[in-house]
Amino acid sequence: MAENLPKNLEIVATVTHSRHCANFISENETFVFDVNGCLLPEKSSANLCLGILARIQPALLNIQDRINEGIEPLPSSLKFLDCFDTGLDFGGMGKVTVELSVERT
Amino acid sequence: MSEKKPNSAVHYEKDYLSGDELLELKQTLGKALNLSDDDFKKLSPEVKNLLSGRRRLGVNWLDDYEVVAEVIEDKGCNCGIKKGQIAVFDMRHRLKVEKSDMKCCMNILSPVLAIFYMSFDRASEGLNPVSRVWNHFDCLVTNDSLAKEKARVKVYLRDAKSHKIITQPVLDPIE
Repeated sequence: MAENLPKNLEIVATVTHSRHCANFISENETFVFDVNGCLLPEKSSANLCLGILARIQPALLNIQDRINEGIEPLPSSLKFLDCFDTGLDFGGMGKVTVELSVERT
Repeated sequence: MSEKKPNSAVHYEKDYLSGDELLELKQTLGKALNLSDDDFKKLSPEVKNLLSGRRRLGVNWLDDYEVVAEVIEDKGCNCGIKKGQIAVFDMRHRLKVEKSDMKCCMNILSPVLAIFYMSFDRASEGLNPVSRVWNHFDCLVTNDSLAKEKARVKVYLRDAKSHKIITQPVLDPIE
């Protein structure tokens, strides 16, 4: 883990789209993480589904890496992520998409 | 070279659920998941399989059990995870914060998702939803110790009410 990461930053994944989600995740709900990659349940408003949380995990490492290098935390190529369920039209059930942002607390 | 045509890569050649309309589940699932009749027609055999676990383990199996990831090693972890702490999930792979006491580090919790890929499949066969093979997971961060020192969890199934650990390989349906 990188040392001396700023404690005044949080990574927020806001739900931008949800369809047939079995865990009833809805648009505009959020998942909030600290810069060490730990979920902050008390600050998150969405049901804490591992199917989307695990999808976000590599992005948390990416953001942490960029913070460590002193550059803009959010990579432009990694703004949106979708859950591991492939969705009804592609052999799965539901689909949730989130948009990442980095916010100062 | 063999002239045998390859099987479809999308669905099994022989799909025993292809004609199954999940009639007894349709009303409940349709309402819960906002599925229309057309949506039901689009359900793949894989998803039908996923939904059919109720037939084997009872209609409430998703609420009757929970999955626990218990920390069995914490050496090398910088997140503050301690041996003996637990993260509890419902069978829909939602984290139950009120029953968990470990820090929700995604580097150790993300790999646990694999359990739930297997759990629906195993439930549809009437098996214990938690695999007896793949039940140990470790942190995704390798560290300088070359993976010798890292947080590790063991995953098991327990009764959601009594918290009794359930290890029997084949479960009896709960009436």
